[in-house]
Amino acid sequence: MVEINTENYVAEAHKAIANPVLQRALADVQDRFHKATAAAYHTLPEGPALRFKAHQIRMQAIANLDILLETLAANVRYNGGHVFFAEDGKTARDYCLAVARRHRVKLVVKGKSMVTEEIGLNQALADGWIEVAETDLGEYIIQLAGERPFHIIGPAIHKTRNEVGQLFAEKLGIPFTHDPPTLAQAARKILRAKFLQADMGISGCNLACAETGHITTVSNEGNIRLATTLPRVHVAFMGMERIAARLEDHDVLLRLLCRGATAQKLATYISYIGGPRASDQTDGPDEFHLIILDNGRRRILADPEFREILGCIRCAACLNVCPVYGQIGGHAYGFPYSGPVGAVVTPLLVGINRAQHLCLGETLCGACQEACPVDIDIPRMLLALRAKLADGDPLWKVKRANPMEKAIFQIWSGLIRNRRIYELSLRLAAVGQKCLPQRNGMLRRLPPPLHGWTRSRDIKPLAAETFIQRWKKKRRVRGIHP
Amino acid sequence: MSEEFIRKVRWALGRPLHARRCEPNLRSRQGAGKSPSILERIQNRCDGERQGLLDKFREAAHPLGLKVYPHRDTEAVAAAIGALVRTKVPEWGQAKSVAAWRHPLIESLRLTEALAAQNVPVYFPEGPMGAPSACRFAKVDRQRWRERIFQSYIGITSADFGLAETATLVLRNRAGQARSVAIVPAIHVAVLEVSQLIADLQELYALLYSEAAHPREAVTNGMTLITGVSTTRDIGAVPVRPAHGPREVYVYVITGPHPKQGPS
Repeated sequence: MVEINTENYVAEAHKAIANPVLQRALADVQDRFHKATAAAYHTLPEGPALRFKAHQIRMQAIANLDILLETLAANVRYNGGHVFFAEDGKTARDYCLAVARRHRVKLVVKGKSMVTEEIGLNQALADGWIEVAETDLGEYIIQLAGERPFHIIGPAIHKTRNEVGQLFAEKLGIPFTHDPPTLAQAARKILRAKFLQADMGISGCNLACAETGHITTVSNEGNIRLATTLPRVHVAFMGMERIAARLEDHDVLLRLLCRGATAQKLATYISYIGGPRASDQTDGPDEFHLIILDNGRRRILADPEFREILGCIRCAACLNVCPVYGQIGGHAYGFPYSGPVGAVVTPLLVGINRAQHLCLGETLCGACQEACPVDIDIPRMLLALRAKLADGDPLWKVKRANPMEKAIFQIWSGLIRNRRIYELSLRLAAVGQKCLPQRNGMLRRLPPPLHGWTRSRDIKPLAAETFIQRWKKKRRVRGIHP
Repeated sequence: MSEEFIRKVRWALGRPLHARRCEPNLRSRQGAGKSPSILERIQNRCDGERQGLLDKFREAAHPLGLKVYPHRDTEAVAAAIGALVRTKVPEWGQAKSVAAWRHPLIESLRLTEALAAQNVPVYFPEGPMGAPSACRFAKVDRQRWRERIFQSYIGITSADFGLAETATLVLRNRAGQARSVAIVPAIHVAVLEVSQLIADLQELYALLYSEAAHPREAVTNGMTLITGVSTTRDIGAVPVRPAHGPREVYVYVITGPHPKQGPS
C-alpha cells in the first residue's frame, strides 16, 4: 500500500521553502522548461492552437472510454497479449505478483511509471521477496535514497550532483565523484547487469491506442526499451484513461506530450507495444500482460465536474510553471502526483478532506492551464474542490473543512445586505482599529480570527471616510445635490 | 471480470448498462489515415523532394547527436562500416563482434566478408529451426542470440522509415529483425535508402494504415521510434549521453547515383 502523507503538506512546504539547495534546483527546472515548452508549442506545424484540438480528442476519448477499452483489450488479446482489468491497487498488485510467481521471477527491471507509484507496487514486490531495480536514472537515484518522486518526469531533480555522488559512494561502493558522466556511467554499468539478469520487465503506459491495440512508452534513456525487450515477461500498467481512439489522435497527443514534458519534438525512444514476441521473432518477451487500472478513476469519470482531469497525460508541464510547486517542490504533496495536477487528482483519489491542503494551497493563477498541452482547466477544478470543502458534499463524502469559516461568511453576507448595520460596523471598526499596533500608517496585526491576514504583511487601515461619504461631500462642494 | 469492469465504466459514463455501444464517430473515422492525398504525396515524390527530405533529416539530426551520412551505394556503406569497426573500441570487454539484422538491405552489404579481414564476426538472428518441434530449439537459439547480442559492440539494422521532420528512425519487429540489435550494443548503425524517408508521423501513420488489412495489424506487436542518442538529465540537470542505450547512432542513407553526394 502506498504511503499517503497529504496531511503534512503545510509542514513539508515550510521545510522545502527553508531549504536553499532545493529552491535553487526548483528555480533552475522552472526557468529551463517554462520558456522552452512555450517555444516548443510554437514549433508545431499547426501552431499552439493544436492544444485545443488535443483537448477535444482527449475529452472525446474519455466520453467513449467503455468502447475504447473494450477495443484495446480485444486487439491486445488478438496479438497474443493478456489484459487484466484491476478495480483497485491491491487487485493490480496481486495480479502482478501472481504472474511473477508463476514465472519464478527473482529480479524485476522497471521503467518509470507513476501508476505503479500510485499503487505502491515496489513494496508489494519486495514483500514477495522479489528484487526490483528501478532503471530510469532519476528513479534509480530515489530508490537508492529511499525517497518518493519529487517531480513527475524528473524524479530526482531535487538532488544535487554532490548528493548523488555521495549516495552512489555510500550505496554502490564507488569512489566519490560529482561528475555527472562518470556517475551516469556507473549506473549504466550496474543496471546493464540487471537488464541482462532480469526475468520480468515492468513499464507504465504513456498512451494506448484502441484501434491498433498497442501501448506506447516514451523515454530518453532507453531503459524502457531494454526492460521490455530482454526479460521473459513484460507487465505494463496503465491508468484506464490513458487511451486514444486511433493513430491520428495518437499523432497529435504524442507530439504534444513530448513538447509539454521536455520541450522535445519527439522523445529519443518511443516504443509501440502490442503483444509478446511472435513465434518467429528472436527476442522480446514470451508473455505480455497489460493491467488496466481503475483505482478511483471511475468515480472521477462519473462526475462531470471533474471528468476533465482524466484528460491529463502526465507530462508535468504544469509543474514547471506553477508558482506554488516552484517554492514547495514535489514531496510536500504527500502522494506521487504533485503540482497543479496533483492538487486536483490526489484529493479525488485519496479523499478531498484528507488532501484538502493541496487544492487550498494553489494560487489559481492559471499558468498551469496555459502550459497544459491538452488545455485542461485545472483552476476551475481547484475551485470546485474548494467549493466542496466549503459546503460539504455527501456524494464525495466531503465534510465541511471549516465550519467556523462558513459561519463567518454567513454573518458577513447578512451584514453587507443591511446598509445600516454595515455602516455601523464600519464605524465601530474604524474606531476599534486605533487600538491595534501600527507602523507607517499600516496595521501590523489584526485580532483573531483575522490574524492570518497580517502574519506576513501589514494591512491598510479603514479609511476615515467611506467612498459614499466622500462622493456625497464632493458633489455638495460642487453644488450638485443628490 | 473485464465485462464487469466495462459495465461499471459504462455506468460512470451514464450510458445504458447492458447495451453494447458502437459510437458512430469512432467507426466512421476508422481508417481515416488511409487518406489518399497523403499516400499519393508519398508515392509521387520526385528525386529532388527526396533530397529535400534528406537535407531536412540531416538538419534535424545534428542537434540530437545523430550522425547522418549519405552514401552512393551499398559498397560505400560496407566500407564505412568497415572503417567504423576498425576505429571504434568495445565499451564492455575486449573482443570485437557485430550483430546485424537478417534484412535484404543489410544482407546486400555482405558484412561477413567485409569484416572478415579484421577478424570480426557478424551475428545474425537465427530463426526457429524447423516447424512444430521448433519450440525447444528456438529457446536454445534465443539463448545463444542473447549471449551474442550482449557481446556485440555494434548493432546494424535497417529501418522501415526515416521521419525527416524529427530525424526519427522507425523500426518494426519482424522475424530476423531483432529489436535488441538497436538497443543493446553501444553503437547503433542504421542503413536505409533515401526512398524510405518520409516527412513526419502523419505520413507514417497513413502508411501503416494503408499497409494493414485491419487497423490492429498496423503496429502489430511492436514498433520503435528512435530520435537521437540515449540521453539523461537526471544528475544535477546536466545533459549526459548515453544513459542506457547506444552511445552513438550512425545513419547511412543510400542515395543511389545522384549528383549531390555527401562525404563518406
